[in-house]
Amino acid sequence: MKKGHTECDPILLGRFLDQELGPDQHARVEKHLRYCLSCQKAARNQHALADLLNTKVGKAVSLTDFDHLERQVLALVRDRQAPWWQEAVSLIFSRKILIPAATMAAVLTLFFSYPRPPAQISGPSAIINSFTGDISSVMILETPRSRQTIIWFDETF
Amino acid sequence: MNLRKHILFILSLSLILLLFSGPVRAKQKISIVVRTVLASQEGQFTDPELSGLIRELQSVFKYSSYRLLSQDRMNLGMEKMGTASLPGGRLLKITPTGIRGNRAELRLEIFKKNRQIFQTVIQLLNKGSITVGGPQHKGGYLLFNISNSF
Amino acid sequence: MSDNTKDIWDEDKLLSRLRQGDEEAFRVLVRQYQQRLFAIAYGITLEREESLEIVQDVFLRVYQKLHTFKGEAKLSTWLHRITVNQCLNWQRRWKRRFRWHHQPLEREGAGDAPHLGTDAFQADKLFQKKELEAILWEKLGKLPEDARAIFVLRELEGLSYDEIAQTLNIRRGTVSSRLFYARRKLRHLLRDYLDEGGNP
Repeated sequence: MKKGHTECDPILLGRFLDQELGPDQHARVEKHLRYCLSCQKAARNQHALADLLNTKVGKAVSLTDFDHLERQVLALVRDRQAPWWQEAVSLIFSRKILIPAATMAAVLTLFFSYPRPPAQISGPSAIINSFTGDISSVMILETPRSRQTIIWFDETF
Repeated sequence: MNLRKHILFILSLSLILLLFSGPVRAKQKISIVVRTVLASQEGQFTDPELSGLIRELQSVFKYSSYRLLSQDRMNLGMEKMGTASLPGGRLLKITPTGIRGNRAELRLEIFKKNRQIFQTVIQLLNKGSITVGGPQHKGGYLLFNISNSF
Repeated sequence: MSDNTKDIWDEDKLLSRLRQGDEEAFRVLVRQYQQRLFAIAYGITLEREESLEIVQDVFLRVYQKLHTFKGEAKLSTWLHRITVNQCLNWQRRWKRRFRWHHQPLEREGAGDAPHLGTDAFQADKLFQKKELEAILWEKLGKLPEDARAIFVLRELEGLSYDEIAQTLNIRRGTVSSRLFYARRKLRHLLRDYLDEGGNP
């Protein structure tokens, strides 16, 4: 590095490239950059990283069907427009619900008029009562459809 | 007289049934199947014997290959231990400890080179299964699917 | 599609109409911001499907919580904030970590290679660039998510340090130091792929 020039300051350089320095500091870094090959390389690297990110994301954006996304968002919002009680009331009193509901009620009344043993609530395929181990981590999951239990562990040895 | 005998018989039967309404301990046996699966990203292969299981696992994992390495069947009474050899010097020990309603209580232990990795006590639904994973093995992960019926 | 949806509405007009419950205004909001919010979500989560879900959740949240927005920040700042919070919420992070443990990050663009014999086919350069993009994606995954969020807001959205600070509710100095850290770490992770000239 030539005598008389400011020393490299990577933090300042980053702020300079982001246009976040005051006028005096900006001028000093700009002057330094004219002569410092190391900082020039760092500046190119910073631009290169930004370009790569923008290219990669840009591709993903271009491959995305935003019309479809828009329709999904609007449909989601429409579902939440009426107050819940209004929706419930109109649903209950609609003919296509009322008649089958009445039929079902009659069937269930007949069904439960006979004494039966209490039904077992099924829940997940496995209930974990206890777990101990020489492991670094463990996760317990369920599959969404049939609620099958999964235990995932990382061995330490 | 007959009526009294009938009432006594019904009461005795009820008492006996009440006594055994908790965990069934006597001679009930549990049929257990342990399947060892190698899941990996190498290639595309779904073992036809695992189709039902893979469908469920694919909702959580995104492996492209599921290969059945081994299958062990055992018929175990209460407090009787069964074992299944697993790849990589591992061993699975299963001990049923009771049945509550529609679930079997099982103690599962996995050992690696004679050292216990973990122990868990579960209540497994009749005809249900649990999947335990995943030690790394030959570029993929081992999954142990344990199912039972009684 | 009505003519109104083709307009780009300024934030004040958009906000005013949204507060009145104008449906058209909400449609404009979605249309105007969905790509940018998707880009931010994608840069942070590195997953396309999850980013699409996040964008939907963001707009739903905006719809539900508009009455709580007092206008102390810009509408875009608020949208950015909700997006980043959705990306960084603990449930999503937990699921992402689990997914990454079991599958490599998706590599997109695999089907769009140019054909042999065409002018577009410059095997070495194109291969190198595509590979580098994939490698960047993998290395971005090694940054802590809050540092990645700042990096994305700066490099993708071009937000100033003050705007980023307001979006994330942190100090300007923190923005500067985390950004510096993120860039330094990325440069280190990618040192074998960036040549002496600073080119990929």
